[in-house]
Amino acid sequence: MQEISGRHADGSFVSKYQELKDDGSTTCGSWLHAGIYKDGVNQAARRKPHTEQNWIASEWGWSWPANTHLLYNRASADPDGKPWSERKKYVWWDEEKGDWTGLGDHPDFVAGKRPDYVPADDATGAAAIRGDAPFIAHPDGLGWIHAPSGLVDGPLPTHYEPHESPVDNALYRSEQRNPTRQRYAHEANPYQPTSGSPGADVFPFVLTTYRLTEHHTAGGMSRSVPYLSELQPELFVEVSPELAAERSLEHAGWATIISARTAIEARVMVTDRIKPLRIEGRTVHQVGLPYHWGRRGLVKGDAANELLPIVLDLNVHIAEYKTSTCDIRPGRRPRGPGLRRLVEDYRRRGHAYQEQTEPRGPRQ
Amino acid sequence: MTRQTPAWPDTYGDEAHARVGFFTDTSICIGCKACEVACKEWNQIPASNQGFTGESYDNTIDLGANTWRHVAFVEQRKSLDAGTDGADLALAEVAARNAAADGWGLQTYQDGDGLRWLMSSDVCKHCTEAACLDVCPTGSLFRTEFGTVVVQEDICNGCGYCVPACPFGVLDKREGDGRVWKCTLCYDRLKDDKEPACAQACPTNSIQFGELADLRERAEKRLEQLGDAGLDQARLYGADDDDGVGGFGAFFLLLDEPETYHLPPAPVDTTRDLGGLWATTAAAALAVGAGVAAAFLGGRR
Amino acid sequence: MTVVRPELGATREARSGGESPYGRPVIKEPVWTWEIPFYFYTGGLAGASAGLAYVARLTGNSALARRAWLAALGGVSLSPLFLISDLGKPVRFFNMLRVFKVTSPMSVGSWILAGSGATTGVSALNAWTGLFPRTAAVSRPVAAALGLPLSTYTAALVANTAVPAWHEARYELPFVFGASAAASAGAAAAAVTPARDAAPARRLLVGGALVEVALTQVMERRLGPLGSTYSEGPAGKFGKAAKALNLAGAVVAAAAGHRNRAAAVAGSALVSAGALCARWSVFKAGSQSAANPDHTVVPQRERIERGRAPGSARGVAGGR
Repeated sequence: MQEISGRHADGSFVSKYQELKDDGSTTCGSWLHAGIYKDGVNQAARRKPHTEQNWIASEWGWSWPANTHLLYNRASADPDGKPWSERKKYVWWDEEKGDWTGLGDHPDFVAGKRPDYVPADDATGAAAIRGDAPFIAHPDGLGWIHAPSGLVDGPLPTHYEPHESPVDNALYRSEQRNPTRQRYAHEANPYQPTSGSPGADVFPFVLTTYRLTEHHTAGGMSRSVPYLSELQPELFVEVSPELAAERSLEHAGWATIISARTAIEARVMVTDRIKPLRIEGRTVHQVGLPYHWGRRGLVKGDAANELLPIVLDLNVHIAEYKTSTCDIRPGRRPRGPGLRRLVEDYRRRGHAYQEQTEPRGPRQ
Repeated sequence: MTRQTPAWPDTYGDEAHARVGFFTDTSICIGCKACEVACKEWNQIPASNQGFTGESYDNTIDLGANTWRHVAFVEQRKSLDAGTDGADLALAEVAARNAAADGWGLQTYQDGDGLRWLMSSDVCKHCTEAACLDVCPTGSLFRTEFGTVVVQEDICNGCGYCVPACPFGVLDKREGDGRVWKCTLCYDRLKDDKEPACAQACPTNSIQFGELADLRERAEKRLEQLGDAGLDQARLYGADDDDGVGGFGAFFLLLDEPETYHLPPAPVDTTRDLGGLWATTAAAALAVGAGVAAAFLGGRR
Repeated sequence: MTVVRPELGATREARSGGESPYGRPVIKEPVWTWEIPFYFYTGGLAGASAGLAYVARLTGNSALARRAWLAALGGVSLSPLFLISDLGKPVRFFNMLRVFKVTSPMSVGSWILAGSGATTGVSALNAWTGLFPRTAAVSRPVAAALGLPLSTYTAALVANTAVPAWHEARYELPFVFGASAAASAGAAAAAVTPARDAAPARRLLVGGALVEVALTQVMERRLGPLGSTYSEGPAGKFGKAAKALNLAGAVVAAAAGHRNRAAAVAGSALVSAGALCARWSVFKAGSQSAANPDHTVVPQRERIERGRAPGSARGVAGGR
């Protein structure tokens, strides 16, 4: 923890990230946690009771960064540095001291920057933020409700169905999916038709991926740890008893889950925790898959993410990892050419397509 | 004052500590299994992959030579019997359904059935009257100065008698090793004034370590608290000195009958019946003697 | 309308006690291996043979006495070897002699075996070579006396566990094991002793075999639902074989053992096999009973309900 917290060249402990320098005179394992070992004390282990300090309780535990309990707390004072109200005062400018002070939390602002500070035209970094702009993680120091710049898709959030969905967008009849979504034309990335389009009934179930406690993301790091691997050794798929009955899935048996991309196999967990959804008068089943397995490790299994389409949002280019559609059937999947044949059969019946031939029309 | 055991504290004299143990409050267990991992890490226990079991998220199944903390997961469906099948419900019916759901601590419901997911970290009970300790013929199993029960691995010769003697099925022989292993309540950590690894790792303080008398008090308060909140399924398991093993050193707060967690509802230390058994054995021995003697009535032909 | 769904997945119907939801065992099966029923058999053979030899010598039947001492020596030598072989760390067998614990039938038994071994050895040596007569005069009665608990303590060993089919049978098992030991001793001696001297051995064989069969029946009946363990699975197979072999051997020995060498040997072989099968039946019944959660949970739950036992759980309302 001391290494993560950081030290100066003379061996003394760093107290906050603002002390870190880029000239080699400080070391730090994680800037966010700089100061967690301030003064040689494990700040996070402090347990001073709330009965012995004020309601902010700065001396109970430690909050990143720099033990700041309320981020952007400069906003609790007006542009002149005075609290907006006496009742809600938290952090304010002390003219005599020439610094920010308050009820006890770390002021989340550059120390000593005056409320009336105006940056020079060529200022960069923290120096380019005005003295009355509290949102210091944004380049202009302002909070963004309406984002005038930096967003391709925006400015306000709304609802669209995922690229592959078994239901219609209840919010917009004319816009099923996000019109700005990034799609890729690749033979390994065929798409499934969306709700209402021909072939959509070939992939009738909602596919959703999620995590287990025992493994870490795609499992590369946890599948090499024996004590974690033995706790969750095999990929399993979770289905409701109703879907199990419909598709003849046997609890603790095997199932094959198919999408237009590939087919994977998993052990079957029939459970009431997965509930059939009732949407606009019909039953829509869910298929749940943890995505922690892969071809290598102390425990191996198929990779759930290989089922997913590559569709990205245009602001931060994060793919739709969590929801798609699929089919499920009992038994293990074929291997080799048999696997290819199975997937191609589904692609054909499901009217799967590659991006450049995507049909245009009112329902996108 | 929690019960003295036959070998503690008197035989330790000045070296005796207050009796310590666990209070495992399963009502706040989140099933993270940090206790299982911490225990294995600290005690360098071999991993033992059993594959997918299908028993909810529990692929460990039970305590054994290589598992000294085991998190059980029990998914329970409870019919709520509020009449209709999910269509519009009258407020009165919804209220009735809610009351039933609260009493059972159900987490979701749909179509007349409620669901709850019980999670519980099982461990050696370190019984006041420990059958394993009683039957050990080498003296390997002994009572420590903390009132806990520990196997001395340099003495154990793997006779295996303790394995079927334990009414909870805690002990087992380690494959490839030959000896019997079980939870030591981190005896080595206790000697250094530390708490056991599982208690330290538990993020919700479901596993509480401390002096047994304190833990009993805390548990009573917690039981009352849950009772006030309407959770009438809550119960303490192993917190009474007059049960079949004289009370557990590691006791639990459960949310259902013990057998729901694969635990015996009325475990007994087999030694309680040993007096009568020795008498029967002696009588049988005499009967053999009488039988042998009687065989000589009638001459040698 | 609530739909009752079959138990086809990880989610189980909540019930009000008396059941282990996933059908998993509550206690552990014994980890003992194939040596243990042989350890029981040879111990019983040794114990009853020592008594047989002692009384035979008292009645002047040295032909029988000598041979019975040999059987006792054979049994008391093999029994610890079987036990040691079953140990997880056989080299540490002598650790059994670190302590003497009355709460452990295995501890008590190890000391009995040690004492029996020494005294039987001296007695047998003297019976065949005439050496150490004064020591043997002491060792003979001691061996005979130790032989009695030697022939029954293994019943205390198995009954003193949490295994329901063993623990609940604790009233009969010592007598069953004792009868089995007597039959084994009689059979061993009758096979190798000239017919004109072997009558007591034959009587012991017949009596022991019949009592064993009868008492086993009584035990199974009294055990009720737990008793079916002894007639199901491997325990059942060995149990049936034991009954058949014991009865057949008793009949053969009684009918023709006194005039026909072959019949005597046949009768002895059948009863010896029967006694061994009986030990195997009890041994297997332990695993079967431990593996069945109902054996543990149901009787305990019943005892709680009838107020005969304090359960270990206490609820909010104070009830169990």
